[in-house]
Amino acid sequence: MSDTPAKTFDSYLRRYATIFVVIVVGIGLMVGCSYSGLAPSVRLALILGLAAVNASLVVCFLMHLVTERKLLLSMLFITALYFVALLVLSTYGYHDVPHLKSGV
Amino acid sequence: MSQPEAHPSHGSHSEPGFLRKYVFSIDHKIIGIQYGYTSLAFMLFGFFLMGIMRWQIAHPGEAVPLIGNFLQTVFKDAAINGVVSPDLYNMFGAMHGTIMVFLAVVPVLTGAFGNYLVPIQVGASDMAFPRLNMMSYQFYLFGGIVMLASFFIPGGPAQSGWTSYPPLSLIVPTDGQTYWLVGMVFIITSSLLGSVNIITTVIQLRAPGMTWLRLPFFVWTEFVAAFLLLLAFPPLEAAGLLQLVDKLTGSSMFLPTGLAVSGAAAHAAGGGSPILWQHLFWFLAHPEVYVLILPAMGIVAEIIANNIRKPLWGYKSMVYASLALGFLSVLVWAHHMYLTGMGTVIATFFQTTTMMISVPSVIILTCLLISLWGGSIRFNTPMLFALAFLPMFAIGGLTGLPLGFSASDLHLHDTYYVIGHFHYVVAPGTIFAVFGGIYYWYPKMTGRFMNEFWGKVHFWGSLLFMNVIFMPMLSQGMAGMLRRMSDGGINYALSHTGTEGSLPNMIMEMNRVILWGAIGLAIVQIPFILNVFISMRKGVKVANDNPWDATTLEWQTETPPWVYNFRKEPVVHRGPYEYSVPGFSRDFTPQTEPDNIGAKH
Amino acid sequence: MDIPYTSKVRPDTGLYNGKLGVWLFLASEVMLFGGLFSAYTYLRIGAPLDTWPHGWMNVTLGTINTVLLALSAITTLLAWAALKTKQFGRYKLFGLLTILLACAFLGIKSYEYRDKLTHYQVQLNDGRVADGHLVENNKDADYILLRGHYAANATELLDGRAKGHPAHEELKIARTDIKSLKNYGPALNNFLAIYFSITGLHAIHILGGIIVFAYLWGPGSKMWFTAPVRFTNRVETAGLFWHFVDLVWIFVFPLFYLT
Repeated sequence: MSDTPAKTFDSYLRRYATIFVVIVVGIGLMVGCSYSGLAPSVRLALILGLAAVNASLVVCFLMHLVTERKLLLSMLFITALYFVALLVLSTYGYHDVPHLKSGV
Repeated sequence: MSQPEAHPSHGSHSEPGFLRKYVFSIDHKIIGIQYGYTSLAFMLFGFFLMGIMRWQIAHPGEAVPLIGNFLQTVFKDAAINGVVSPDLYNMFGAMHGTIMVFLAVVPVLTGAFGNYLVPIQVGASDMAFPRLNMMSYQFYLFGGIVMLASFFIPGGPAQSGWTSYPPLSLIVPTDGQTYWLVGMVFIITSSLLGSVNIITTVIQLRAPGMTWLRLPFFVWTEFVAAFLLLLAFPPLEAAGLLQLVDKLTGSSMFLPTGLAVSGAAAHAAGGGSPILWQHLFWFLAHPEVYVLILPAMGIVAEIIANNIRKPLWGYKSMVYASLALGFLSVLVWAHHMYLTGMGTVIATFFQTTTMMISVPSVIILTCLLISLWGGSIRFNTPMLFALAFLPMFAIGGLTGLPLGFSASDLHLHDTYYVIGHFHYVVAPGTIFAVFGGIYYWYPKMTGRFMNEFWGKVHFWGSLLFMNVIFMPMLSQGMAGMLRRMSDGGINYALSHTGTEGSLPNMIMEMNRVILWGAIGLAIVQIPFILNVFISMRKGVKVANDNPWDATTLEWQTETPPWVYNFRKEPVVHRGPYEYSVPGFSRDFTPQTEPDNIGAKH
Repeated sequence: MDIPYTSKVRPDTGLYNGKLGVWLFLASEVMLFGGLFSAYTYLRIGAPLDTWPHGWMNVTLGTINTVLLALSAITTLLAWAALKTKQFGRYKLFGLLTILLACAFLGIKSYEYRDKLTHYQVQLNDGRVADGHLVENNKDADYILLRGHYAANATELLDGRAKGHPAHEELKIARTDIKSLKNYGPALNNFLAIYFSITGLHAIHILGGIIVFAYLWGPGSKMWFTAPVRFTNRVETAGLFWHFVDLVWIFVFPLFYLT
């Protein structure tokens, strides 16, 4: 099967409970960041960074992506790439407008 | 993992009832045929809408002959005395585009041909998820019915083009746009289920020995097209949902600050962006073009390989080119948006990717062209359509280059040049491939050939009239005729008579030529439609299961294929196009033929 | 004639059909929510100066929901692990927990929706804004009752965490003083429009997950006794979908509640 052989229920339980605790800590840090007095841009970057860490924990360990094969990973890589392209290019296109540059 | 598994449902061998067999079938072949009939009916309907529009363009303000009264009955104020009003023209324009792209050409390629052929060609007994396959067709049908229903609501269907650009789509005060959006959500769901099915089938259900590079090129193109549908359609669904929220709750995500409608300030909270819609829309709609063209290339490759009696030249290059085409097609979308005031950096990026994507298209076309060299070509009807595809698609592709550069696009944008360009790709391009595919696989589906003489009449007539229709459009566009004028540009031409940049008589006269072309095209489709139905009973019977002497797996099973395709699971020993291999007595070597047996023939 | 690899893993791809199918579906879902998140980003950076609100959401409720959903992701895995180790009773327990947690999430979410939809911004003729929950809006009466406070203008209300808003009290506003009356629904501004769009679609996904898990917990669980491997796979694929729903929320929470 796809996951590394963890034979007993308790070993599953221990592994997933650990990940859950880490995720909850991440959530706590995010909320803490939100109420901290940091500059808004720093705060945004920190919070999204923490969200990304939590998300990668979910993807890698709860969805068992660490144990999947290349075929699936490459398909998901392309998906991620397209998502980033959509997000970045449309956002960049918004800023790359002549009248914004000249400051009119 | 060792317990014996019971498979509750799929294996039942009892004869299914009529409903199970033909209406709620989970057999990919029946579903493929359902898709085929439905999408071709939609295609005919979309063509019919276009005919009325061409009449209005050629004879603005004159009542539509024959069906004028009918139009008035259905559309009331929008067709007084049978004359097409600008509103009705806009409705027909929007629905022609929507129906042709989303309900006709994509479903006929991926739903009909993809469904029928992909499982057989990879050597599987059915799709990976037969029930999802059935649902996919039902969602598609329902989406289509919602679209059609919008013709009969007060105010008529959507009238903002198939692109549904806001703010126009949001401020037209009818429910047509809501129907359009709801219909699209169903169609997108259908294509999601269909593409998951095709990809899983190709990856998981390949027969023993069917390695990746032994897949027929058609399967590759369906595979890539399915990925495009899977990944590019959802952003449009997202945009559609947002537009639906805008339409139903009065929010203004796509309405800009300070929007005024008919001189009065529109009710908008401000801060919305029509450009956002364009990004999300074209993120789908450009890859959609490659969904329209890739499987068509696949069909053409199958027909050409079979009728030149030699291997395709550069099969591997074609496979890699189709992958590159699929990958790049998602990164070119904003070349539809040069006129939105985008800056030079982002325009340069999209110009570059647009030029890059022409390379793999040319690779595929060149491989097909070189394949012809030295072949002993059989000029049957499917082959004629496949051969005509090459120059027609080439015209379509090459006329696209000036649209990919922002400098020339600024002049050509939204003119008839654009219409001519993409219709060359889709009409004499993709639809010719569809016709060719129907003539080619008809004997496998029915056990009879379609009539060859009437097939040739259909081909030559279509080739002639397609060009009569679309070639003048390129000139009209370069002369500056805009694509959305409901009077065919006559008022513009008259009000600027004699001035620089006006539309000369010669250009305006072309509108009538195109109308005659459209009438001619309609007439030569009659033999095709009759041919499809009459040949089912009266066509020449096939002599054996492989009447074209083909190599791929669908020809190595009975005709029409058994409900689970193969009586015995096929084992694949060779590539898809082993024609005229030295050392074999026959000029074709089926994929199932083992080396040691074949050599003895 | 059975379709191969419905429960067995195909050796060269390392997948069974259902798992590949669900991953492909999720890839499509990534692009669906990707489109929505791109729209969010585009609208947020494109918002005219001083029009994008901050701190309008209840962080306590949001945090509770985030933890609930993360916990339900764990319980789906434990339900699956119970089947892997052949403990059907434990599967029933953790399956039920998952469904309950998901229902709790939806309950809190609908409370938040209700809170927003009964919250009104009243533009007064004198330029001021009254902001608060509607207490009474009787069509026959010539006034409305609002529980909230006055602000000099709508911009003042943009920072929900700002100190110094006056205490909430019952405001009686004559209808003749009202220029416009808008609730905190999608039409108020783009923040709320995209908030309702994304969280609404997410809630539909939660609902779909509940239906799937309820089926696998109730009538669908009979399959355990006839085809245990296939049933375990079904629970695993349903779990994959559920993790994706959790994943979306992991980004929805900071984007709408925390920044």
